[in-house]
Amino acid sequence: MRELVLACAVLGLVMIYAGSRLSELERVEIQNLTSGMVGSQVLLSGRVMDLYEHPDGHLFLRVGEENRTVSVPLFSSLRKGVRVEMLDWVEVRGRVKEWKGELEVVPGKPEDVRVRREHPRRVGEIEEGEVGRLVKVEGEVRRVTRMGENCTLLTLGEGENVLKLFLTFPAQVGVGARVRAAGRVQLYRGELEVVVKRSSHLYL
Amino acid sequence: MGVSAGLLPGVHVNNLIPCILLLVTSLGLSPLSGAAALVSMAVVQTFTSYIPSTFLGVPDEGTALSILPTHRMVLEGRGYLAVRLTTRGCLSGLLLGSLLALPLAPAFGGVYSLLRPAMGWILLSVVILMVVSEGTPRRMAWGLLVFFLSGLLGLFTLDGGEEVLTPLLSGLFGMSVLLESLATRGRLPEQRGEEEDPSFSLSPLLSGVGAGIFTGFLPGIGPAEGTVLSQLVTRSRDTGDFLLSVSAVNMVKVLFSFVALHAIGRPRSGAAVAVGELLEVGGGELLFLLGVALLAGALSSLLTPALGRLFCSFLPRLPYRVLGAFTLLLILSLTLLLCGPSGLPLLLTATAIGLIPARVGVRRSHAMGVILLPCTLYFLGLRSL
Repeated sequence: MRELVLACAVLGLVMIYAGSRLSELERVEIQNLTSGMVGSQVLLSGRVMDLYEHPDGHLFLRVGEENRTVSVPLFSSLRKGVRVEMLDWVEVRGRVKEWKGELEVVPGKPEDVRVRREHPRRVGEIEEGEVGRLVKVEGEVRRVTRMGENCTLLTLGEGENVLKLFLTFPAQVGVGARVRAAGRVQLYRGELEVVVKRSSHLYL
Repeated sequence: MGVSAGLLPGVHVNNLIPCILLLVTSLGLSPLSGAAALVSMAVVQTFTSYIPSTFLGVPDEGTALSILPTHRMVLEGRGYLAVRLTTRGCLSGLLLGSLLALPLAPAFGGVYSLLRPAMGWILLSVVILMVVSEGTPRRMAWGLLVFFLSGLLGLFTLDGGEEVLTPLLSGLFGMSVLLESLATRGRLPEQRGEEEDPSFSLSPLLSGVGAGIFTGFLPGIGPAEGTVLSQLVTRSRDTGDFLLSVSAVNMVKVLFSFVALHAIGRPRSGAAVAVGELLEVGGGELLFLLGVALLAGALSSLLTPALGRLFCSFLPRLPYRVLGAFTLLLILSLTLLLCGPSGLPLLLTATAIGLIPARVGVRRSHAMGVILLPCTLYFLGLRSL
């Protein structure tokens, strides 16, 4: 019996050591993600640089920085437990897979995605020096201008400050509503505006 | 927590899982640490549960028609040896099961996909085998009746949630055994101390491990059915062989409920469900958890005989009826706590059904119909979950 106990204890310790080394999640920087990692479990973090909502309820995130992002699909079954917005900081634990020649990190459960909310900035805080950058801004809608069939221009105001949001999609927003949106800053005819590309980047 | 779940009759690992999960959250432990705690608890509970099952519910020699081998040993004053034999069976099963789990796990996915469409028929075959193995037509008929009565109880109540399992299983396998023994026994016989272990047989152990692996992947099949399958293979009547086999089946079944989570993505126990909620069990995680199970098993095998010796020394001095009444009260309180007053009729009905096997001399394991019948009907497509 003593020999059996000893064998179990020694083998147990060896397996714990080997298992913990194997299961230790490799925290990877997005730029270091390579196709050699396909099949392995990784832990990565970054900002949500793009977010697309599929009609079937799946949410496709692009996580990373300005120059390098990786796709993180949150399938509808998993998405219920995750609330995420553009520019939020996320930490994703998932398996590296390849889809149509592109690497993606696929989390298995809602707990695999940790979200830290990025607070929106106020209308007056956006400056000319930020042209080209992705920002999240919040304000009250003062005017709604339809731009053809598919675009909408919202004028956000806060006290003396105003900022235009150019939505490249038709939106049902009324004057007085408080909105939060993420998009790139651009200068149009000498005025700052934020271009919002998708309806999933606008939060009412 | 594993020791508490093992020693307190009626308390099951599943009842303590929320406490472990609460600890994991409040202490900020990693999911892998939480999974390790759950696996340790399940392993330790399996080892230590043989102490109360050996010393409590011991019937009188003359009145019990179907007496359990551990109880027979207690009546002979060899309860401590029974605990040591089950500890050895658990540890040997754990070691062998862990060594087999790694090479077998990759193959299980394919095997399960092949068997999945025939699962209902496999379960039905196990039921038929259990009934036929009773031997005489009279006993077969009683076995079938116990199976159907408990099965109907399961069909009518299991939709009420996981909590109903406590009164159902406590009634069928706990209260009924205790009531039988309380009606007849005044005091436990004096127990002998150290005694040399009988020679170690490999065949009951191997058949126990095989049956444990088989039942570990099948839903609704308990260790009792696994033991019957194992006995059909070895055909041994030796008490020591039986204890080695039953404890190996039980331990390997617990172990393979976690292996099943990795291999087929389906948990086969409450603890495995909780592990699956904490993390995705890949190859590395499985290796880690098997190591944790082995280490927990090694520690349990030192702890369990010591606890068994303690029970041996003070239990014969205690009035058995007071002890039994305390245990019954514990089961009643747990039922009330988990299910409220509506759990009491369930407990009483289950107890009534659980009293039948000992009275008519058939195996109590037919009462596993409480889970097996709903599972079989589900896999045969005759019932939705």
